[in-house]
Amino acid sequence: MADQANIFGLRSADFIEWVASNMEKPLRKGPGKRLLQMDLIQDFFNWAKRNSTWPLHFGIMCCAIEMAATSDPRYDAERFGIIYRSSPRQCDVLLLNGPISLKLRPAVRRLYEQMADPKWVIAMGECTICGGPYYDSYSIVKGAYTFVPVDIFIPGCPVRPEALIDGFLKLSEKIKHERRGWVKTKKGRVVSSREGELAEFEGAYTYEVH
Amino acid sequence: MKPLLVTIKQALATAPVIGKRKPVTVHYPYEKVTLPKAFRGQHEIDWYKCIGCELCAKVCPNECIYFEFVEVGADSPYLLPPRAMLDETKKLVRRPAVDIGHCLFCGNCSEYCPTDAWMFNQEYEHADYAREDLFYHAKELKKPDQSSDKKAVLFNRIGEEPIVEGDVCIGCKKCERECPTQCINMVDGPAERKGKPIVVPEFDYSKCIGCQQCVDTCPVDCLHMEEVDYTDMKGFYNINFADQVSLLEEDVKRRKY
Repeated sequence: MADQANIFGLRSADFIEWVASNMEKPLRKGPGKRLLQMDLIQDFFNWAKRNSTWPLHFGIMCCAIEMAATSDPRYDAERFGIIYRSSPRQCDVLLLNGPISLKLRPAVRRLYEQMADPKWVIAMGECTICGGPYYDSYSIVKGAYTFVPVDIFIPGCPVRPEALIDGFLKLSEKIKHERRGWVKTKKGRVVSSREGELAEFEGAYTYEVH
Repeated sequence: MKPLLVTIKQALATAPVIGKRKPVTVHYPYEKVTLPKAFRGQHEIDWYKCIGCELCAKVCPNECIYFEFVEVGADSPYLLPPRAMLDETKKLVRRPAVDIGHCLFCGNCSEYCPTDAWMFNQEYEHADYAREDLFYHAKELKKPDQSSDKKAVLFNRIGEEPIVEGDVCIGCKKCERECPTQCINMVDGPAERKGKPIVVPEFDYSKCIGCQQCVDTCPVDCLHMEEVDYTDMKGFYNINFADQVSLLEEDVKRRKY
């Protein structure tokens, strides 16, 4: 029985729990269960997911200018369903663009946790990937992958708008092969295509250069 | 009335059939923007020209260039310029590898390369699924042998030359072994040991490229680099100055809208 909670006053963790117990559980229990497991329905949801990767409109540093340039008429990113939303609740992709300082790190983690499942993270530019020119700094996090599971790394300083679109296309490729479980990198290595994880191969997920 | 007319004029100018202006959107995955010639994308190293002097790793602001030892055959063409940095077996060459995920794409490596071995091609689609795959090994950055013109150039672009302090030198000859251009000749110095004079390096500055390998390897710090000259970019291979260079404003003016 659904209890009439004041859902607007809930904290995010409580809200997710409430949704799981009151909406998802009855849906999976009832006649919709078999429908959800059908391949055709899953493929339909997959198609919808990969063609509407809405990133969070969250600019950290100069790569955000390229993010803006990507959605301008010249490189019209909305052709691929890349529509910037201002609230993490409406987003699928956390687009990180710039060096993340120690002070910003909890905020970024919080944004990631506020986003509804399924969610992906794109690290754009070298500052987000590994700290970039501030790799020696006391205040810069050495890579966004140390605290959020990054799915796509786009190197460049800054990233070209086309390269960002290419990153989003590669993300949709990854979502497309979600059921298959693996996807090939540019060098031909096989990695996991599930959101927020990499297949267990030799070497740890976190990568430290020499 | 006037603003309305302006709006209508603008609307007609961009209309598909009537207007003269073409659509501005570039349909990216199918057609690509022509990039400027000097655009710096993926690194490319000409193994015929590279002498493994590690100057690129020294000038890199992010320190994202690592040198790898690559084993080649005894009759390999990469050994042929006798400037290849070798060990005693003469079968190893040093070639750069780049961590693309850490690279600033500033082009310092290409600018200071004394042999013009560094290039940047137009590839910019580096996006990948794993951090490990952004590290490009030396063999992956190698330029295809066919596209190399195999022209050897040596140019001191950094404008610095090593100076020796003769009385500190112990005559270990490490610098002579390490020098990629073999411009060091050991001559008798001022100091003496057991009645014999200690050898000190003498530099042939016409061949020196200012790579600082001798300074790095010196065990007693008797060498230091000194700025000698401002060198202009004349003869710089990677940017073709012979072509006409136009400013963006001129370029925009020339376009017909």
